[in-house]
Amino acid sequence: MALGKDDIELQNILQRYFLKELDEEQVAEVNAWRAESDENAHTYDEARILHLDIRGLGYYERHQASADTSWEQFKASKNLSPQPSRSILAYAASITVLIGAFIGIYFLSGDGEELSVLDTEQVDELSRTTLTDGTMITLNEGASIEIIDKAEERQVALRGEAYFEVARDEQKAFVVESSGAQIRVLGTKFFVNKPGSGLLEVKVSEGKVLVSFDEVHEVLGANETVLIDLQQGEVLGNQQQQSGLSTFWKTKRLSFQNTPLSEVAEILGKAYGLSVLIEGPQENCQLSVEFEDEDFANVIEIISNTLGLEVSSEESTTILKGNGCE
Amino acid sequence: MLVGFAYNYLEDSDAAEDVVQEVFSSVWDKGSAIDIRTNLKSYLFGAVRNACLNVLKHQKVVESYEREKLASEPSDDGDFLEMDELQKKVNEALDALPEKRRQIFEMSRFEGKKYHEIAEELEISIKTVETQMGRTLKHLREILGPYMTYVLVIGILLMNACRGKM
Repeated sequence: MALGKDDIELQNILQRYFLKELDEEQVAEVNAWRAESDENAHTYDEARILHLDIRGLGYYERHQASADTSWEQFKASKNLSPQPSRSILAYAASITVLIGAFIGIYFLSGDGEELSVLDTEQVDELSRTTLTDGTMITLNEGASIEIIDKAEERQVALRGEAYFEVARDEQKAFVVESSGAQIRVLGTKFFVNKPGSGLLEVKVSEGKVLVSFDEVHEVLGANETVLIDLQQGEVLGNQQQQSGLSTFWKTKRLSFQNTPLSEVAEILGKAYGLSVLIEGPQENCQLSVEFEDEDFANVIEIISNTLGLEVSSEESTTILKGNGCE
Repeated sequence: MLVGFAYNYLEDSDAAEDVVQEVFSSVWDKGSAIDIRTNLKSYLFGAVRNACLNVLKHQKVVESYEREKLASEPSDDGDFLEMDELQKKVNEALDALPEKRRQIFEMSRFEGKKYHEIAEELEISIKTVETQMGRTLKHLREILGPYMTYVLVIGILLMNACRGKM
């Protein structure tokens, strides 16, 4: 890798550096090159801003349509009629009112005002809801939430599965009610999953949560998981979460250790936002493998080759068919 | 939505939230003094982008008093770009590209495809994708250079200051 020799080559390497497509050695080389001189550091910074702007613009363009709708909804909800005025000053004034109302909402949660939905956007099958306190909830397909706010708590009822990123508020705990279980937090990130009928799973990625079901209370820390058997009323253990699913969006890394195939399928589905189904017998089908920065097709190929599975796909569903493993 | 946008720059949701809050309060403080050239949304996104770039610069700064000094700097005069303006600049730069090169760039930009995926889809070699992307990036950097230099100057100065102290 001849850094700095050829501008085109250099732009390329830097771009791949930001896309995290380089291996460790190459990353080290870029870092060393960057530290060499101010000029290099400057070139690096320019390329980084370009990379961020391209990504930022992509986001901006994807959200232009939804943004328009939510601004309109927001204006409507505040009874602000659109200002058809051509004058820039008049326009600016109406904008100020709008922003004022917006900031009002932004800080309301601290004043014990009612919690409500600020914004909802659809990302493929998932819907991402932002609440007025800044909490973000990513709802899996078919899931829904209902806000049952009480002045002293931020309480929501969940149907289905979701990932919560709760905004910290020491004064008002955030409480999720799901299938009769209660999950209580101050500010943290966690999953609520339904791995099977009558089962509820809580996986914590950051912070601490208190899970209560019947009379059982369980405190979970980061990377801990609890499984609740809703029918038997049992809280089934507190296991370390291994796969790295909760951090996948950031690390693009998944790791499996003698993980049953069904669980692998579930984790992959969540990680890539697709659904992966297993058909046929799957006794003894376990997997020990690590994936890093692999695209979905590669991951499926590796798994199907390893376990001798047949792959087919329908729309966003990938089906793995097998005859059990030895 | 703005927080999601800020996340693209900062890759840290707490910092993204902070930036958006700060932008809102600074816009609020200015009241009707803000000068919107395109539209509110574009202005706010542009302001958030600017604030994010400032945060990235500040991350290099160790001395807290310098951070304070910088935080109070006006962030949206002179070369401040609203998002629609930035978009226009990038699109103009892209319009000047040959069709194929533009296509490669957009596959990477909009569809988030990796180089090898683009190569497979267009049935060209990865090397070609690399060269084409490199050219595009060089071109973009040349066209967009002036506004980026503005963003960068403070960053470089600070980095030098830090290097001396560390």
